[in-house]
Parts: sequence; C-alpha cells; structure tokens
Amino acid sequence: MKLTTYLWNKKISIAGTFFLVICIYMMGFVFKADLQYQHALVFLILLCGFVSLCFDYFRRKLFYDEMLGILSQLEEKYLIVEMIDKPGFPDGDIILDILYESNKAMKERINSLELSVTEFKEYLEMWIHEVKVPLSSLDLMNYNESTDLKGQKKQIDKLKQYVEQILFYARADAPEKDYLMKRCNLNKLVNNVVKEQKDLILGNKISIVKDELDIDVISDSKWLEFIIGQIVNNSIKYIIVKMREDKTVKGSISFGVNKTDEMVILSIKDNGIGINERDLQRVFDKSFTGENGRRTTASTGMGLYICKKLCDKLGHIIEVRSNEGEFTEIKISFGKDKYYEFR
Amino acid sequence: MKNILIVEDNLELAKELKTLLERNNYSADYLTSFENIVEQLVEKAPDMVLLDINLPGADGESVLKQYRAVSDTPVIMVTSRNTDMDELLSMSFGADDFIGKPYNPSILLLHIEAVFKRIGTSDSDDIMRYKDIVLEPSRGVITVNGQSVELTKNEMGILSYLFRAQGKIVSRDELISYLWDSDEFVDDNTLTVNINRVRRKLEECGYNDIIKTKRGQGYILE
Repeated sequence: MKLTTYLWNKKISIAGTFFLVICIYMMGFVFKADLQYQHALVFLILLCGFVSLCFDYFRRKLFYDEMLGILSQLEEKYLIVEMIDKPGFPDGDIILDILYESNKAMKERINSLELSVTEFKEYLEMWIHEVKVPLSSLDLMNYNESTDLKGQKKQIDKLKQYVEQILFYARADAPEKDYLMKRCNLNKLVNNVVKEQKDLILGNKISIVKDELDIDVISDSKWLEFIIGQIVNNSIKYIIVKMREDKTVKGSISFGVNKTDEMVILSIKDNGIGINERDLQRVFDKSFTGENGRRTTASTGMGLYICKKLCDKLGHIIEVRSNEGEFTEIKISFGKDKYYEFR
Repeated sequence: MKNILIVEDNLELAKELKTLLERNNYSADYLTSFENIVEQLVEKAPDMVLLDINLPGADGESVLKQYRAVSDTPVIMVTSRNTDMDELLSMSFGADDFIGKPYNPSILLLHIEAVFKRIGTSDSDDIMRYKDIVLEPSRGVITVNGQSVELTKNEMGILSYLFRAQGKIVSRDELISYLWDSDEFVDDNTLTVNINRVRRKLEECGYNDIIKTKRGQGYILE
C-alpha cells in the first residue's frame, strides 16, 4: 500500500483536521484567546492526528503487504485465507470473513463438480467395457459369416440400449433445456417401450398384462419412455434369471395405473426373482448391484440410478416394492397438474 | 407406387433405407450431394421426404422451412437428435412426423404408412381381397357375397397379415410380432384362440378350413 494512496483515501479526515485548526484560530481571534494557548491546542490536535494516522497506516500496510507478499508466493492463490491472521481492525476482519465464506462455498461447489466428473469417468469406463461385449460378439459373428440374424439383432439391441443409457446419463446432469413437460399418454409410452423390447420379451416368452392405461400425465415423453424402458429391461433380466432356475415359471410383466386425487401412479410389476430386504433401499444408489447383480452378468447398477435422477428432475416420485422370490414392483407417481386438468 | 426421397448424409444408411423401402413396395431414391437441397427436392418431386436433421452444410430444420414455403409434400424427420425439443421444433416447421435414430425398421414403415394414410393418399388401399372375401380393416369387417361379419382388432390383424402374405406360410412368431407392432401384446394362447375365432367366422361365411395349419411351420391361406 502506497502512502499517497492511503493519504488520498483519508482526505476527508485530514481536511476535517485542518478545518478544525482554522476554526480554533478563528474562535481564538473572536474570543481574544491567548495565541500561545491556541498554538498549543493546534499542536496537540495535529500531533494526535498524525500519530493515529501513522499507527493506522502502518497497521494496514503491515497487513496488506503481508497478504500481498504471501499471495505472490502462493502457488494456489485460493489458500490465502488459511495463511493470514485476523488484522484486528474492523474492515480487515470483515473482508477476511467474506473471503473465508466465499472460499468455502467455492470449495464445496468444486467438490461436487469433481465428484460428478469422477462419477462420469467411472461410469464411462464401465460403459465402454459393457459396450465391447456386444461389439465383439458381432465382430465374431461377422467373421464367422454367421446367418443367425436373430442373434445379431439381440446384440444390436443391446448396443442400442447402452447408447440410450449413456445419453440419458449425460442428460440427467445437463441443464434444464433438454426436457419439455407436456401431456404424455401412458398407454402410448408403454406400448412404445414394449414394442422396442419386443424381441427380448417374445424371445423369452414373457407375457405382457396391461390394465387400462389410457391416461395423460405431465412429463417429458422421451425421458419417461427411457425410464419405463429401463424398468422393463430390468424386469426382463430378472425374470430370465428366475426362469433359468425354475423352468415351470412363466414370466409376466404387468402395467397398471392408480388414480388418487392428487396423483396418477403407474405401476410396473414383474414376477422375477425379486429383491431382498437388505438391498431394497439401495437399488436407486449409483453402481449398486446388490445380490441380484451377482446373479446376472449384465448388471451395471446404473439403470435405476439414472431413472431416479431423471425422476427427481421431472418431479416424479419413483418407489420400489418387492418380495424376494416373488415379485418386484416399481411405482412412478405423477402429480396432477391443476392447470392442465382445468383445461 | 409411392416415391420416397431419402435425404441422409450417411450414404450407407441411405442405401439400406432405400433397400428397406423398396422391399416394402415403395420406390425410393436418395440424394448424393447436399448443395441446394431444396432445389433438388423440388426437382425430384417425391411423394414423401425422409429428412435427416444433421446434414453437411445445412440444418435439416431450415431445409424443411424453405421446402415448406414451396411444397406441401409430407416430410418425416429422421434423426439422432431425438429430444422432445427437437421434435417440437421440427413439427413447428411443418414436419409430418418425427422418428429418432436408431429406429426400429418396422416402426419406421408403420410411421410412413400412417402419414400416407393421414393425408389420404395411401395407395395400399385398405381393402384386400381373396377369392370372394373382401377385407376392410378400417371398418373391421369382412364381406362375402354381401354378407358381413365383424372382426375384433386382433382377428383383423391376423387375417390381414395372412391376406397380405397370400400363398406363403406365416409362422406364429411372425404373426405375434406383427400384432405386437400394432400394440396388441398377445401371447401364444391368445393367438391360438384368436385364430380359432377367425376360422369360425370364416366358416360362417362358407369358407371352411381356409386357414391351414402347417405343423411346426405356421399358417397358410388356401
């Protein structure tokens, strides 16, 4: 801190002091006071002013010079607050507090970003490994000049699904512009999902049971279709596991709708292997595969996590209910929008 | 035969699309240069355009906008940009339909047919004939010598598929798959029940055993 800057900053107090001096002389003249007395008074005032100014100046200079010095030496400038003691004068204290708080907030923000970046990296790596499986199958089929079109289709469907999944994973983190809330017909969405996974469902002789679903909800149709698709895909996966263990089981996935005053609830229920109680609360956690994940190879623990994330963004509530060995039921609740209802 | 023009910069994909469309009784062509797309479209005057959104040097949406200014030809946007927002934008520029990549080929065909039907120029005229049987899917009835019998949606689906495959064996899987594509998620048992119902209804019209069972292969219309 330069002396001139400091003095310029203090110009009002300095001008005030000089004004006071002039006043004293003028009053001394009016009241015919002793000139010696006036000089002494002025001298005292100037001395006091000068001393306090010097004290103040050097205190600040010490503080800010130290701060600047440390700052210039620091590699990571944001650590400055950790290196400085409180100066003991109010504005310095306040600035330091503000710096400290804003630094803290920034650190939290960076932490959460760092977390999501590492999360994404981990997911990406896992995803690449997943995607290589159908790719190499197709590669082999091509090499062997396979004519098993159905087998190829199966691998292609798998690829499609992985690509969908990573797209929506990226979208779940993206800004809001990616989705559009509008009326969607549940029946139409469910039909699309079932048709999309037709080969897998028919190939495993799983039957589809649909209640009356012809109800509109307010959501983003693409996102919701993806969510339902993931749930159905999980159902298929775990029905297949069950059917493999018990040949007499006939797989089925049923869709139903429950309407209450405030909610429309879509339920998707399968008679697969179910989820045990311990794992039930954690199925929406990232990368959680649980015991069931170990029973099938194709479990990444990402499907339901992404579903939950998307549902949170869309404002839907997603819940799971299950009895191990009997069924799994996923429920998605949509708030009824009064505005849309009214129209 | 309807002529469909494919505007797609990935030529391999465009070729495959052409094959798919030609196999399904459309004539198809694709663009190989992407300069002055709108002029080329106007010049070729197709019955429908399949338009990709991401094109080299041009944006499908703006192509659509310019094309709409000079023509009412139906346009289906086919694209990998498949958010609701893209769909909304395309529709607001005058697209007739919107399909996201990667699409299921049979669903693409259904969409094309639906668009033609909607604008009323479908030449796969609904009515199908076999011997004296007249099948009208839009009304859900079959008529034989003036006598009409009503069919349910499933029955109509089965019969129209058999009609279309005249003389060829249709497997049960094929039938189920076809019904699923038209939103009827029947299982094996339901199919059997429905086939029997169709047979009974045909018997009412005097056609006994017109749907033959080929063991282990499927059904055939005789």
